[in-house]
Amino acid sequence: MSVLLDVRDLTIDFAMRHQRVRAVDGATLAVGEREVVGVVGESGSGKTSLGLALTRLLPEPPAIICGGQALFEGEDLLCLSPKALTRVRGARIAYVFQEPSTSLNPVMTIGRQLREVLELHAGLRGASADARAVQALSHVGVPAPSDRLASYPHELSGGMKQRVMIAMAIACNPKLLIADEPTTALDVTIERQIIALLKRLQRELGLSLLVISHNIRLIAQLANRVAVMWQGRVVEDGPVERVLRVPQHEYTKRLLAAQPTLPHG
Amino acid sequence: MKRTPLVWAWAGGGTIAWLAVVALAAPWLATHDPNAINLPQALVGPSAAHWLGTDSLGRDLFSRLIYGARISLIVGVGAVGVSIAIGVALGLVAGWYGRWLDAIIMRLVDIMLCFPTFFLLLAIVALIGQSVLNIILIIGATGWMGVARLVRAEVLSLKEREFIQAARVMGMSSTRIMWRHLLPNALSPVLVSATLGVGSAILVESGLSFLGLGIQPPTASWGNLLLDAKATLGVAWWQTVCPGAAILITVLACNLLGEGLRELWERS
Repeated sequence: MSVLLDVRDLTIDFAMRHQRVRAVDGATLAVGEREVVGVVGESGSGKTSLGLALTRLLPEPPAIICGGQALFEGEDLLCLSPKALTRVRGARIAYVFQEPSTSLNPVMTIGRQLREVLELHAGLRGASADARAVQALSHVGVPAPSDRLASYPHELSGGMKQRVMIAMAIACNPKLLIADEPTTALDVTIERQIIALLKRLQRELGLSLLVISHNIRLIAQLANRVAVMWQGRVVEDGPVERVLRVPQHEYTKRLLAAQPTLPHG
Repeated sequence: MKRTPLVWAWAGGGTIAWLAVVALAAPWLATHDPNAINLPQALVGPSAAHWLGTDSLGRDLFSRLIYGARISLIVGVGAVGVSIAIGVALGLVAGWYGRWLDAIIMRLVDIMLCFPTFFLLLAIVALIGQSVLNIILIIGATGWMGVARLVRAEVLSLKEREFIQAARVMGMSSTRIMWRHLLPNALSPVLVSATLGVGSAILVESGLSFLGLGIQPPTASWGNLLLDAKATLGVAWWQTVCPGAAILITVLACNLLGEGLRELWERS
């Protein structure tokens, strides 16, 4: 299996007025083709900064990428010009955010936002864009997709909005989908549906997934491999079964021990 | 207390709408040709033949007032249109790109705000002439600063919202994001400013015309009607009161509507 994304020694600092904070410290991880890699860690571990840095969404300043590489299909994402980035984003790397309610433009209909993505990356307009939009919505399990095109974001539930976000992300067949806390804002029953959806899409489209979350349960169900982050460093990394059953690093052990369990009996 | 502002806003809006209809229908509503000189009938008071009397050249004031409404509205709306075009473009660019571009644009705003606008207008009018189009352009070119600041402020706060990040991550260019995603979300304060701006532009134009530096006679403008009336104030009070009242009511209506829109925007 070839390597799609190869992050080596990525180091990111945040320059604030009186100090410089290291958010990511020499992080190294790899995502292969058709592979699902999870990045798990507590708040402040640097996992979100890592994800944002890969698509260069971190405001630079105050963020400073001071070292490392992020090779995606041979190109270093950290060195791309803004123009080259607009070609990579959406078409080759897609991103799904945590909060679906705020990820959609509140004054545009779902249909219009979907059509815009399709127009931008696939050059579709008019009826063919509409047809493709309906297809994308039904692919992610949105009921009555042709009616949904005229809906505004506030008319949809959280789970439905996240499905729409995923539809927009995969609309242009990216190779890699980065999902940052994709189910944290949703309740557990919807979380199960989204997990099932992501698994199905990953299989059907041959996508690679990089799932960033503090939710170990999510990672356990979705990922093939997992990287555990703590204080900006990747402290452990390996196949998800092995890491969760036989954790090597002290922090991983404590993280797993912190999972709430239901009392027996 | 909550109901009150909206009632006044409707009153303001209704007045503007009515004024727009009157201005549009001027050729049909006017009782006389506004430029028809009729010296024997000069300075006649309000009567059946001349509803608002005549001026020193015997021209019917009512007809001139209605045609003047056209000029005032065209100049008001046109100037605001120009201000918005300039202000929105500069505000979007300053807010989105930030850093040195933002600094340059904001310093330009500061410089423009330091000029005593009226004298700037007088100077430019002296340079480029007094046509209606020129008046619209120069009032517009000196009134964009407030809009630019408003739009920039909205963009600065919207920029960090997740749907803008989502648009960036989907590969949309800055231009597309600015015009298609930021602007529709930043429009509300612009609408408020525009409505208030129409009143303000009408006042400026009236002032310029009153000084003889705005719309040239024989084209009727409320400002130059006041100028004509100045000489005969003691004898023909109606010549001053009617255009003055028209300006007052129009600007008041714009302000009421603008304040009402602001109430609506702040509530949501």
